[in-house]
Amino acid sequence: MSLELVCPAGTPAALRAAVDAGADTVYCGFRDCTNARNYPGLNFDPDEMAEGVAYAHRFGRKVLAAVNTFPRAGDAKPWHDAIDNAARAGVDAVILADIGVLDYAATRHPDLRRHLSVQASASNELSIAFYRDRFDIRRVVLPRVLSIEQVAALVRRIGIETEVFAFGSVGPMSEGRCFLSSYITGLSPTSEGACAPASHVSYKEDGPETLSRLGDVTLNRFSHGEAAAYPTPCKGRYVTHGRTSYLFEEPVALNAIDILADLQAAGVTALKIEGRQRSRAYVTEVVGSFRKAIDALDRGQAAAVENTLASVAEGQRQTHGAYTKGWR
Amino acid sequence: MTNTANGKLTLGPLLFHWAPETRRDFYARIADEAEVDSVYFGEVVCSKREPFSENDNEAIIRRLEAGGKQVVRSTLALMTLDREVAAARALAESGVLVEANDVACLQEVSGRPHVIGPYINVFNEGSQDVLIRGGAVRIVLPVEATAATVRVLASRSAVETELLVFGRQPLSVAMRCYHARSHELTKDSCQFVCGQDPDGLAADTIDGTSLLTINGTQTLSNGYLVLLRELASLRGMGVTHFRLSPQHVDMVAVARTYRAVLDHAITPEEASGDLAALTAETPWQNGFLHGREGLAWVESELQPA
Amino acid sequence: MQRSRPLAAASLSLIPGPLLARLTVLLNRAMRRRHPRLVANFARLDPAVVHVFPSDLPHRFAIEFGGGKMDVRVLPEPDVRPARGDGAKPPDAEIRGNLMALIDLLEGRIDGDAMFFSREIEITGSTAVIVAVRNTLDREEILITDEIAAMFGPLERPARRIAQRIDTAIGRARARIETIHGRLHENAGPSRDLGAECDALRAEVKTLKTRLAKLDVRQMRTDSAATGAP
Repeated sequence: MSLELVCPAGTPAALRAAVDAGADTVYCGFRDCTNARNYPGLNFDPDEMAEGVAYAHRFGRKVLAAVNTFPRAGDAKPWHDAIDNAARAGVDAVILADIGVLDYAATRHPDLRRHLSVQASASNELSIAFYRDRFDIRRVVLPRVLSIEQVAALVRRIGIETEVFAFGSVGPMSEGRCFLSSYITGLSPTSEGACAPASHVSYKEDGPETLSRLGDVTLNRFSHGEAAAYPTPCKGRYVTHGRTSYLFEEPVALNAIDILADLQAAGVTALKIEGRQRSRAYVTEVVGSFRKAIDALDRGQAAAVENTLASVAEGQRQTHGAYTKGWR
Repeated sequence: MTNTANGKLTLGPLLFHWAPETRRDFYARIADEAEVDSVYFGEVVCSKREPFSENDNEAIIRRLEAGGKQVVRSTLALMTLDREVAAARALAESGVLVEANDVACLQEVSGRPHVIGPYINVFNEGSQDVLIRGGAVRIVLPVEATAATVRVLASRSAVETELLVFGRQPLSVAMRCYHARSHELTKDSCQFVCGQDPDGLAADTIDGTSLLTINGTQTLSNGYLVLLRELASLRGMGVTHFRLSPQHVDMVAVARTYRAVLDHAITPEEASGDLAALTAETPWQNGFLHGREGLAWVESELQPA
Repeated sequence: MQRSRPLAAASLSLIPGPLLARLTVLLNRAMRRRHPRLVANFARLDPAVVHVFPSDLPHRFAIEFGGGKMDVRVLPEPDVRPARGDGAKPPDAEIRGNLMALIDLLEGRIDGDAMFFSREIEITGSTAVIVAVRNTLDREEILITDEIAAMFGPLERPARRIAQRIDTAIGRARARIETIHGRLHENAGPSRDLGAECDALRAEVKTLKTRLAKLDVRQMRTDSAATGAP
């Protein structure tokens, strides 16, 4: 089986770009707090979602709707509406994280295919089995914390499809359970859908350097032209033992393009490209490269793939992340 | 021992990697002297720490129970290794009351009484209902919960509701060990450096502001969550259990102070004075409950509904 | 496509201020006609004003959006005449950069994350507003050369030709002024021809500008006829 290429779209234009560049599947979210990339100007209204689905289906591709944040108590309506609207738009599956939202979708739309979002942080056989058995999820998006060997072991045991991250920003924390951004800004990624919301991000010139700040907290200092990441708390520099370092994660992008054969051998169904907040240009470039790589792999020419994605990688540096030893 | 109508006090799991003798002494004193109703016991952060004190566990549990405490066995917050999953499965099958901190446990304990720990997201009625149907008898709300969330969930809950009211706030768990990274080591070769910091390792911002505390693979707040003034309101909302998270301070005295406020024996203001003497330089925080940034300290009362 | 951008940037940089203001009116109109969704998407954002300062242009622009509307304006030159009442609204954010980089931004070639670290574009003010602008621009496939062509409609080619003529004239003028400048430095005394040369240049540029303005007026008529607007 060829690896399914699952690509991000923050806008209808990006969806078309992804389809045109060879995505098998495009995932996107609604224009509110119901998805984990709730940034201003981004995402789809219900009509745009329906049009996006129509465009993708015309070319035989799929669309997934991410409804992967956690409803606030007493305010489930936006999430229920998102599920209903996704079903109405004819999406091929919804990507969910919250147990209550999963329950709603499974009860109200039993025929709408359900995927488990990485935000659910299901990192082991038993967690995945829980969601599979309770809510009949058909695919799990695995957290970015597992080695290839662990992925392979899970694939053998869980009996449902797996989707793994192949490119994009690497979050080192267990996702959906990280409160660092709300600790600093008061806005919760889990329920508002934005880690390091732009409203709280600022940049300040400081002589030859720039400071990036989140709320009242200085997260990084870099000289002009130095590669830096969007100021999420886990990509900042901190001081421990009097020494300054990227304590959690360097500004690097995960890029698994040269280990696709290993991921395929591990039995994964789909490769996910991160980056609904990135530009159409990013989508076109990354999707195009992965399309070529997967096609080459299918022809048995894995070694022929050239890795030319450094320029669009976060911080312009790349890593295999947890897939290979040493990351932990 | 306590007036249950005023709410129960619990001691959360020890999050830090204390030396075995320190740990033994700590729990002995808790068992004998601390005015807490339940004690959560078990490694939550890193399974590599477990072998150090495994042999003490049985004796500690016996002593806690002899001291009249309900013992709840806490699980890891993030499991990826086969042996971690196997241990959780074995614990669940043993029939003890378990605090599930990873959804993995739910697959095993469903249908039997168990506690949902603060590392499983319960932010709304939908998830609360599913978990209660699955046999949860107590739900510890996530640290990020605001008063609005607590009010809705605690007031409607058919089961007990617990909330952290003292200690560093758990902000994230990970597979990567930041304590090891701070020593330029990796998790696989960590040399158990987390044991050097019994109250965690300070991680400051580059302009020298105190912000976070590192505890192995876990990231905590730099300050202690202190909910004293809010206790009466929380009780009024229907919160039944109030959790103290073990820090490297006199936890027996901390428990006594909180107990006295719950019992209206002293005012929150008097208690603040007592507590300040115990927590020394560590700042206090309570922003999440007040709907603010979690690092904030808000002096005012909770807003009424 | 890549190659057409320098031309687009050049033709914009050569347009005199008042004409540019007229062009902006056309641009707004063309945008509403050609990209109604883009306008609608800007209109539904939280209200904000963004000033754009192309470093290689003498002009500044204001993009005002939110609360159901969207407008692009050329800002009055602050040193030439006092700011009018309607131009006085302080911006929520400012974007500075050379025209090429700004066109890249407009055409969706610059990434949201990358934008903040780019040396070619400098951003001040509200990050949320900037992110909103970039994401909203990215929703639409825009090519600035297509926009210019569309604005002039059937008159696109003469407009381009004139822009190139202006370019050549100004290029010649620059060369001459450099020569004169060189002479001054050689302490050779002011050239007797300097006044005459300047007058000639002025006349030539003026003729070209008039022709471009006429094209503009013709375009307006076509435009009005097409839309039925008065």
